[in-house]
Amino acid sequence: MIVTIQCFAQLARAAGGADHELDLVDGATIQDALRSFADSASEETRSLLFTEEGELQATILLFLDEEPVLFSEPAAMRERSVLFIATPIAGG
Amino acid sequence: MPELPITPEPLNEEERATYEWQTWVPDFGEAGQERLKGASVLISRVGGLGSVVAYELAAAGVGKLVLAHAGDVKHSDLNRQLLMTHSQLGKPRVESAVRRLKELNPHIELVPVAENISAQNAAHLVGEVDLVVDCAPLFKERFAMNAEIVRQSKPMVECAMYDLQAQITTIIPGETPCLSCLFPEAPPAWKREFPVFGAVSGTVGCIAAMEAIKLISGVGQTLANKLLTMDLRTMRFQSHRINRRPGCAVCGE
Repeated sequence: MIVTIQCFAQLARAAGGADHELDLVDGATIQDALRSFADSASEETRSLLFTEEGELQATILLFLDEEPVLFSEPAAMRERSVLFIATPIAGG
Repeated sequence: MPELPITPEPLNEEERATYEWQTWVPDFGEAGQERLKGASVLISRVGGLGSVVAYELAAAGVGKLVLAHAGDVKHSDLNRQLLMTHSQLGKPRVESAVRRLKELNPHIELVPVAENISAQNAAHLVGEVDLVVDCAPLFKERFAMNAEIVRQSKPMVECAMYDLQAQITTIIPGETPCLSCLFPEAPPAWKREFPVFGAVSGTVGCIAAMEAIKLISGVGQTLANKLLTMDLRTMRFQSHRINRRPGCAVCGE
């Protein structure tokens, strides 16, 4: 199934753009999507998403089809789902 | 949305004339204007974002603005910090800000504070106002402010930008996520210097000013429990529901 990863702010810059399509197996979760995205991304992108221990950075916000989701409670994605990933910003 | 404990201030004839067009807004009226006149707002830094917040709130007739920002005006401020001018280079930023705001509206009270928000001054500054608009470029300042508005149970408009993106939410302690619910620790990758056009910080600054006006007057719906993100590169605006974090170190039970 095709899903879209939408990156925000610093993550979009590191990933070379906001929108990234992924082809995942049916029943894939947000964890699968994030790992798959990170595996094919730059080192900077990976470090914005995950710690050196492989844990999701505590300051990442995830929204699946605009609803908040927790990485620790992986939600299933559907065909054409959009996973929005927000990295924290403080620019004034 | 609970009504803020603000004492409305009656308008004089000049104020009725000045604010006439906004008192035509349904559900706002002269009663809303009287609440703006009786209100006080702390703006944490009056840079690219906070300059526009302060300018709009001064124009709208908010009775008292407390402006907290350290340092002197530099060339690199001038692409976005609309209260700073070439003639004020090398002079304190808050001095430049007050000068510009007084030109716009000489009838409101302006309180310049030539300091950035810190754990040392946050309690006093938050105690001086009805609500806060957070425009600081460092999470240390934002977290200090967040802890204090939760402790004093005062609302805060939380807004930020980066590159051509921006985000904003309105924090109401006890009812919405606080900043630490969203970001429980300092983000390791955030740097004080960031790519910015003034038009981007100004866009979110105008929305932040409107959030403050809504909180004060009660008109409309705020971004409580919602995070509005905007990407001015693609013109995609999205409103995401957000939740409080169980066990939040700042606002948790």
